[in-house]
Amino acid sequence: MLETLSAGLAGDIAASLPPGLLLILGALLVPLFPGVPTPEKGPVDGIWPLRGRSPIGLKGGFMLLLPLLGLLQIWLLPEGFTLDTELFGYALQPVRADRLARIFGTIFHIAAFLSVIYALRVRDDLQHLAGLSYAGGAIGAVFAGDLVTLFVYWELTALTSVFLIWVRGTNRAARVGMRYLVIQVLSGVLLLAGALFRYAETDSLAFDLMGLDGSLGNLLIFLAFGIKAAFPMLHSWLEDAYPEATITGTVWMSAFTTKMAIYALARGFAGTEILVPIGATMTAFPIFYAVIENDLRRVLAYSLNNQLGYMVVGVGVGTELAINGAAAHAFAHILYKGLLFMGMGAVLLRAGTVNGSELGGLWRKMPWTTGFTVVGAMAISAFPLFSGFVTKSMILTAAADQGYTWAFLILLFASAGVFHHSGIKIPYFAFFAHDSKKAREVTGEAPRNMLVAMAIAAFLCIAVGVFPAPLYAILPYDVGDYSAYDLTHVVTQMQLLLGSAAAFVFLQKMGWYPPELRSTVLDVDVVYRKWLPGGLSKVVHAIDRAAEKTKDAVGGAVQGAADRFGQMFKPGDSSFGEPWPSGETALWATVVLSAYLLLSFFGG
Amino acid sequence: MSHEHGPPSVDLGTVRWIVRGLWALVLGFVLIDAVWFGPSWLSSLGSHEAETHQPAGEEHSEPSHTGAHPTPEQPAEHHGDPSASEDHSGFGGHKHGHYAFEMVPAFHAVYGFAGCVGLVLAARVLRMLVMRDEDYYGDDAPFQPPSEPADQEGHHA
Repeated sequence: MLETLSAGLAGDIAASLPPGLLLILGALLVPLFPGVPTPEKGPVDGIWPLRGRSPIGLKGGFMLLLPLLGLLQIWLLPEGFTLDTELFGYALQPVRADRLARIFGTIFHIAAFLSVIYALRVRDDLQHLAGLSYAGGAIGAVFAGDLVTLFVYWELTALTSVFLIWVRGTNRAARVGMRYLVIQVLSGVLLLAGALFRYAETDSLAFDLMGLDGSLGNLLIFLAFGIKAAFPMLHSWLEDAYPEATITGTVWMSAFTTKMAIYALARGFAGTEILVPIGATMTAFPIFYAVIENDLRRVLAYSLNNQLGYMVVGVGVGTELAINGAAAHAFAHILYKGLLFMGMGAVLLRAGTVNGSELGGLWRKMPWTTGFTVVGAMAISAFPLFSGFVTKSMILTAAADQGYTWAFLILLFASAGVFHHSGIKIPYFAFFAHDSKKAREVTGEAPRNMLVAMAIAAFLCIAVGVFPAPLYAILPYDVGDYSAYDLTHVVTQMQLLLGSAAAFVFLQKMGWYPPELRSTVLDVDVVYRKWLPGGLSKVVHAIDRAAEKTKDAVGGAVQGAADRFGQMFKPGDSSFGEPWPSGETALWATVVLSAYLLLSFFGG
Repeated sequence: MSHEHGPPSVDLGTVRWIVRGLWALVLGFVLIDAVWFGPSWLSSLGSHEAETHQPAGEEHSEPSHTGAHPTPEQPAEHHGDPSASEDHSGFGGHKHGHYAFEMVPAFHAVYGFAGCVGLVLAARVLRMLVMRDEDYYGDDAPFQPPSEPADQEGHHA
């Protein structure tokens, strides 16, 4: 009795505050806690001290508590709980807690917790504020039951996360952040416009299964989701922005925006068939870029895009197994992708660069970071006993179940490719390959809090891979007797990965593997970063020149007329300018007045 | 930037052993595939040939078993269904899968190898097309006051 009463009470408390708001409101309190005095020079991306012990302090403790309390809250909410309200006559549903929302909410809280640990040494409150409220916004979005609430959180994630780029304070960061913000806000505007069209069509703002049925509202919402899910041709903001955020900022960013979009697609467009080719394209084309990209955090951004492709295919297939697969893969993906970005962040902190062309041989100096990154690499490559293995196969099986043969083959190719660029390239060029000058200058391991965050993430990658049952139990639908572990799957997956590894060895031996070069690789953003502005500035110039010419021509003519007119009235020797005799003037005045008199007679 | 690079960070002897281990693993998993799953694959090939010689009309469900994909009504063998592995001769197991090509021993190893070699060679071609100077976009350049951009200054001068 007492137990149910207390459980009920806890549930009531949990229900009193929409999920996500705890992190957002908590973030606002972070600056009130006293900070550690930080020297003017020395911190990299606000991280201080760079080595040795660092007290967690009240502030750190408070920040760690927020995601834990938030996680507790969403698990205390009864399944199916909704909070309904009305605003200006519109029925809104700020909270809807079902299984699909809960799995995304759960992993978002875990990601926020790990990111806070990773960022404990950051002495820049703006980053904490941005990171926590960003996470809160994403959590709020997955629990939103209507499109207007979704829009508010959708934009909040854009407005908060951009500061994780801007706080770097460089010219580059200012530019990248602005590009990122414009595209993110555009997604939000499309979402709102779509919601209004939908309201006009259906008289409802509810955020439920919509599908593409030819209505404009749904199409706009689909595009809004597509931008944040980094669909092909709408993707380049991701590869542009994520590698330019702060060391800790990229870890925050890798978790939320895109997976929030995957959730939104799963909610609104499950079973929309066009998502299968879109997702398959997403799995395949970024890996070509990942092979030639030099900035290893950008390589990870391309591989993030590739992983989103699997989830998009899962949503497009739309069966219970496929949606389970998309959700499970998002869960596993956030952990291993965060881990990989943490590893590269540690390299950036210690070596001052993540350019593959300047790295190599770090394993001696950073053995722990190397080990954890390798775990992340094996998880993303879907080695048996690692998390990717138990989640990715659900999507492939579901796609094959529904007869998407070509999509299945592309996903299989992309799985081999993932191992190639994320599994081998990242650890190989950062930690092994040749001893680099940078590696010789590196003096020590990553700070302890970063290692702890990486260790927990690595542990979870393995735990999910070895004991997938708890993850399967919280998926949106009943998993039934699905098991990733049978001899066929292990043997075929190992063959695929070993074949991929053999290709790497073969290509290195033949000298065919493209060397890491300092370069910029053009992606579709060249259109709006170079071609359009270049074309526009040409047009503006042409208009400018034409205007100048017209001005000259017209101005010349006007000037000429004015000059002539002035000449006529010039005092002295001009036709009107010379003094007239008074008699002549009186005569002309008489003529004019007489004419006026006559006219008034006839007119009257 | 090769001048910045020193000797290999792992000594060549170790690398050689790692590569040997890799080949051994490849061989091992291909052998498991061939020895354990091979017999049932061969027998299914044999039975398929025998069946195709039979007069048509009696076996409606057969084409989907050998064709590109199963119809949704016909549940494919997957999800680790243990009963599927016992229905052949005494030795070996039955591979689960949706497609005939998956059943071919070493298919995945060859597909992974060929796919990645193709991937890298295609990426090299891509690099020729899309690689530019590191400062191509000029993102690091300082901002100019919006009132008088450089090109206009030049124009007015």
